[in-house]
Amino acid sequence: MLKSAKIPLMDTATDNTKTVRKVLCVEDEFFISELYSRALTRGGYQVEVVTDGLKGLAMAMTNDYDIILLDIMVPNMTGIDILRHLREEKADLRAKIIITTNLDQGKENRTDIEKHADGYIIKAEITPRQLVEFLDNIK
Amino acid sequence: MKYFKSFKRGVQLHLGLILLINNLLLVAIYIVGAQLLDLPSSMLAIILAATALLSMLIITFVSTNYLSKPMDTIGRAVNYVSPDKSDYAAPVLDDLRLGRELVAELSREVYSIASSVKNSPLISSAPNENVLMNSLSIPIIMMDKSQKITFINTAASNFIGKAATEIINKNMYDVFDFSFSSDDTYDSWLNQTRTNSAVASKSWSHVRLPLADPTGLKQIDMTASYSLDSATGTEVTLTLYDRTLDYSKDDASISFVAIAVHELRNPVTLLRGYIDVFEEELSGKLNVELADFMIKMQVAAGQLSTFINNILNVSRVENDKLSLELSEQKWPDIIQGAINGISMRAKVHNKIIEFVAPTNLPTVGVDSVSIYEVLSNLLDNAIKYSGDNAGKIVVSTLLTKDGLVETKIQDFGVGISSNVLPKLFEKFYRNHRTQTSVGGTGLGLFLSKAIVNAHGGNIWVDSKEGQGSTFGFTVLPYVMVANKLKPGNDGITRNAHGWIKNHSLYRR
Repeated sequence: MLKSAKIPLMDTATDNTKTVRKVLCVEDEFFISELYSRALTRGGYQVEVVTDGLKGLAMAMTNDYDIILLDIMVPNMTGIDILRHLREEKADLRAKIIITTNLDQGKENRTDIEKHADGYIIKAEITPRQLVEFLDNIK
Repeated sequence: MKYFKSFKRGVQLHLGLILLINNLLLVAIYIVGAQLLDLPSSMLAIILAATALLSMLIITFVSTNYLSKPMDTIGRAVNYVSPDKSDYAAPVLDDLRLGRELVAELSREVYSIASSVKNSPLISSAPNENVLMNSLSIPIIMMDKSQKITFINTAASNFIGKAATEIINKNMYDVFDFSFSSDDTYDSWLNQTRTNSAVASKSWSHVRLPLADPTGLKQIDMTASYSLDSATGTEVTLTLYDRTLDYSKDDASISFVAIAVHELRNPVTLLRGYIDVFEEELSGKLNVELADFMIKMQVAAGQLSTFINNILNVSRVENDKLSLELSEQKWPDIIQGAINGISMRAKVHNKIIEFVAPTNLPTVGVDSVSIYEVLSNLLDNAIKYSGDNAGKIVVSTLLTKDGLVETKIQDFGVGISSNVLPKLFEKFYRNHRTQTSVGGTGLGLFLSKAIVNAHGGNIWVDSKEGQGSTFGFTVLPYVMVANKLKPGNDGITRNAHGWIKNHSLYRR
């Protein structure tokens, strides 16, 4: 049921059909990035996966994405630090930044910078298709 | 003790003299009796023995009196200065024959010790009471009838990390944010004591006291003593015993729970993810039975995720780390959302959830995420305990005459036996101890109670074994929440506690 709903959504999201939204997924857990990139690709997104925090920051700085999915616990640089760097150093940052983690300590324990993310997702509470739905609603 | 030697010599002389006289007497009797009167030897022996016995008694009596007199006099001197024995007269030394100098010296010593003690901070009259209090290492706080702090000792100001000057004259409730493990709080005790007693005291254990960093959360035992009319104006004296180290062992196990939960979430993410892929790919290709299995698998994985969330939230409640962000919400929408969220599970178990929302409900002030969890937990229980024969679950909501929004979730299943009912909202391991099987309800209900209470509402259960259960809870209309709470800098936030706050949020 959801599957059929996805296809028209992709086509009607914008009038301009050539805009395929680009997603950067910073995620070191291979199984999860596999699931997410599969679902997002099927949902009409163009997905790039990176497993290393520093590399993720470099890609986010140099390329233009619509959405960046940031896991917090990734090697070499945490998702929080990537978020801080992007906010401070990339003046033309257009991407919506979504924290995706299972390490949530509760809203009140989030750092200020985390609170300034555009979205916050607990991975265990959402299926890949629900993630696609969530991103579809982020404009 | 220069007079002790002369006292000793006096005793020696005294005893020696008496014994000498005694012996001379016996010799004289013998000489007179044997030589001059020529008495028969048997008679002489009797006379001598009788004289010896008599003189022994006289000597014992006289010398005991003599020798114990100094001791008696010193005793009188000690009693004379002792504070609890004021009816003793001062001793008179004039009639002392033996050891007068020694007794005089010792008595002077007693008097000088007594006068120095009187002036010392250890024992003193009222004005110096605080010096004594400050010398104690146990935190002590005194309050007057308006619960204003009138005294705080050094140990107490060190304990809470604030100078006494910052605290004196402040209201106790503004300084100390005690949380208790039951409804039996300091506040309720004081109110009761004021109406019933002139003098009373009480102890609490496992009291929580959050303090400013770096001290953090303290866990204490506490005693309070009440006096209706004390001369100093002190109504209540609080004594605190720091038990943070002992009680934080419980906390260590809680943070272990938090870590374990985080570890559990990763495999659950994958499980749900791959099931999601299967469902997407296979939904049209599976036969009815396998498709049914697929849905059951999906429901089970979702339930696992909810259960893990519950565990984490319980540990947050226990650590005072679950906070609510209240906002204005349409209550029927939230209920409907929770029903939709659990609909797949209801379907798997062949349950139909009936819900008709009244139209006159005001908007409510709730934390939509937390209150959703309450509804989910109660609906989940209703599904779990409906049994095979009861297919209906009824959700209803209404505005009570007190102006609260009440919601009931009723099932027609197995019900709950009356001996389990009182413990139903406690944490699950307590129920295990009672050897009563109540399945996994405890955790969800404990959490639901904490969340509902933090919202300012109540939760209850009404159940008969074999006839089903009705769980009900109230939340507050938004206007009530908005009015009662001062709009702070950070909006309307509240903490959810497994502990009962000393005073209600709505300060009197």
